[in-house]
Amino acid sequence: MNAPERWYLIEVLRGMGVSLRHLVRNIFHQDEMPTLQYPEEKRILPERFRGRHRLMKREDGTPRCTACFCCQTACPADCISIEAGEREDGGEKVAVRFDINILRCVFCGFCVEACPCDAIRMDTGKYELADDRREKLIYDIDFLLNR
Amino acid sequence: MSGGVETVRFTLNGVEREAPKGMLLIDAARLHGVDIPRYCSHPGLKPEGNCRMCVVEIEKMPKLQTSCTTPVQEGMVVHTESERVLEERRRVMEFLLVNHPIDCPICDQAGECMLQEYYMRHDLQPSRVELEEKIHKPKRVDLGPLVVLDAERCVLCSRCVRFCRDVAGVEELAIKNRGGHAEITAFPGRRLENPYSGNVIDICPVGALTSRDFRFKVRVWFLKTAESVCPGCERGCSIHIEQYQNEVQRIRPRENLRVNRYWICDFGRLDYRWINENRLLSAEGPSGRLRPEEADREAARLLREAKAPLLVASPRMSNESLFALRLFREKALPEARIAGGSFREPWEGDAILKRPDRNPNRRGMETLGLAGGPEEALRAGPDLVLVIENDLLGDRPEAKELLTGKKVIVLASNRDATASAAGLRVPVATYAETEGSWTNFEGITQTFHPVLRPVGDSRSVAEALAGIAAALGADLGPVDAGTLRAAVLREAPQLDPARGREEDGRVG
Ligand code: SF4
Ligand code: SF4
Ligand code: SF4
Ligand code: SF4
Ligand code: FES
Repeated sequence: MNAPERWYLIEVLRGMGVSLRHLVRNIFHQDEMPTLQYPEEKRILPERFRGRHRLMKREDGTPRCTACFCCQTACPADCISIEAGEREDGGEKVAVRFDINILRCVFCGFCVEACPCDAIRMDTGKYELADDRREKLIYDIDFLLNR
Repeated sequence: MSGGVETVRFTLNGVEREAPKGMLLIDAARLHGVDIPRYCSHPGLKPEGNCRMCVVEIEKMPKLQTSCTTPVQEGMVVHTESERVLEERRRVMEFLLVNHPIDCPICDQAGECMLQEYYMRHDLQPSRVELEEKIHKPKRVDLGPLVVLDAERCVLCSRCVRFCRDVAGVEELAIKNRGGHAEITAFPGRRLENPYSGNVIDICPVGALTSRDFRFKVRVWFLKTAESVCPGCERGCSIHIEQYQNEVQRIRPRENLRVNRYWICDFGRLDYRWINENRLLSAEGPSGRLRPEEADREAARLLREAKAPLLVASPRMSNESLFALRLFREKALPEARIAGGSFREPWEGDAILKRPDRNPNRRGMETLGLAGGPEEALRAGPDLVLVIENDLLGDRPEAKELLTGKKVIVLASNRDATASAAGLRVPVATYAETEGSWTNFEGITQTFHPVLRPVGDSRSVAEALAGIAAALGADLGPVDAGTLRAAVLREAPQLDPARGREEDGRVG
């Protein structure tokens, strides 16, 4: 450290100078500003952006998920928990509980890759996932199927 | 190869090998680490040779041969991985998969399915059959109290049919129809309900027979397994206990040619819910819950005040716990009387596995000198009884007067009838949470290993006894299973789990 740097006030002033320079520049070149007027204005996302998960339905409206647990197995964050049950309308298996703890999710998309039934997707484009209670951030099967 | 067994020399994939005379080729190959794929052949069943998966090339024989029905001969030259064999396996696979549904995400066998495994190893070809052309068969047939059949997934290996006929000794299953329409069925008016029916689930090489009890509960790759012993009866069948999230999910037989071969009875298969449910989680006295040290002090106080205390050992305790109980009396409570025995009424045994006595360690208890009928000892008028892993009131409610008027301390894993009635109950771990050994009626000692974390405050019986002894001012020394077993063996070498193991070399 040299002598002027030791006087932090000088450094503070220098930093404020940088800010001032940007401010003046932005005032005169508003169109080049990198910020968005969120939430009025939103960024256009690439098609393959991994947003919030959803569970798919078959044509007859039943869930596609057969509770094979492949997504839970693949998930590196251990945030999916499933419970399988017997299906009443035929010989098959169905998920009776399907929770994603989005607080733990790292949005890697492995669950989507792992699913053999194309039952889980992350194509909703939704990324505004904040909420005011932790419990609301554990998405259950109804939420994932219908929203 | 020694000990008077006649051997033959043969050539396996270019290497000269030896095998006992008369051994089937498929087993002789496995002896030398060559795994020939199979569906219909099972070491516990008579060979039949219907799936053709195990074909091998034998020089000087024009056609490929099924290795599961061909005994090894002197001078045979066998190829198990030649191009011709591999091509044939691919064809057999394709044939078996013609009508097989693409069910792996639903099927419980996924992860331990021989079709999946061999497909990955040998086939890896797309199907030439259109999905719509597949022949459909019933998907959820109620075959018996334990077993659900999915006829579409069956590869018609007939293992289940042969098991019922040859091992369980009943004609309950058969194959009906011909060709692509063949399917497993129970005989008209019958069900698969022999007391060993659950074994067909284990031996079915695909997911056609699934367990009603385990169906859809957990994927098998999440399970953690430990070698254990069935506590159901005096036979002490070798088992695997499988757990997920610290709960037992499934029990499967473990191969042990000296005890249970490849099988267990249905009672033993389902005898696990008590490990998961209704457990005693903390010590409880008249004034409510106690911490472990408080319980030890309370037990010590009661034992010290008693004039004629009686310690009741149980043939459900391990050899190690029984030894710890003897140490406890010797060092901490020399004036106490000690008696051993079970309150459990016998059931009817059978000629296959089940034995009348429903306790896994009567022989060990007797060998350690702890037999002697707890009922007479209870009648002799003790004023305090310490009961360990024994449920008098649950097993024999009519014997209730034996405990009336006495102070009762129990060391129990579950909140059973006796524990609920006791003045002081101390939680102990089950056999699934501890290490120990039991000696069966034939004198074969087997060890069990922990697969679960002990629930709540429960400790092993030996640790609980050591805790109470310490509160009484006595030191039992180290009470881990290894130390106790060494002490047991010094006194009773016939209780060594290693004894006789070398006899057939494949048991544990
Ligand atoms: S995106 Fe990744 S972390 Fe999130 S649920 Fe799927 S697999 Fe788990
Ligand atoms: S991988 Fe797909 S089908 Fe399997 S449990 Fe997950 S969402 Fe359901
Ligand atoms: S149900 Fe299983 S064991 Fe029985 S014949 Fe079919 S595949 Fe073999
Ligand atoms: S025969 Fe006895 S030891 Fe074997 S599984 Fe049945 S109850 Fe358990
Ligand atoms: S295993 Fe040999 S024919 Fe089936």
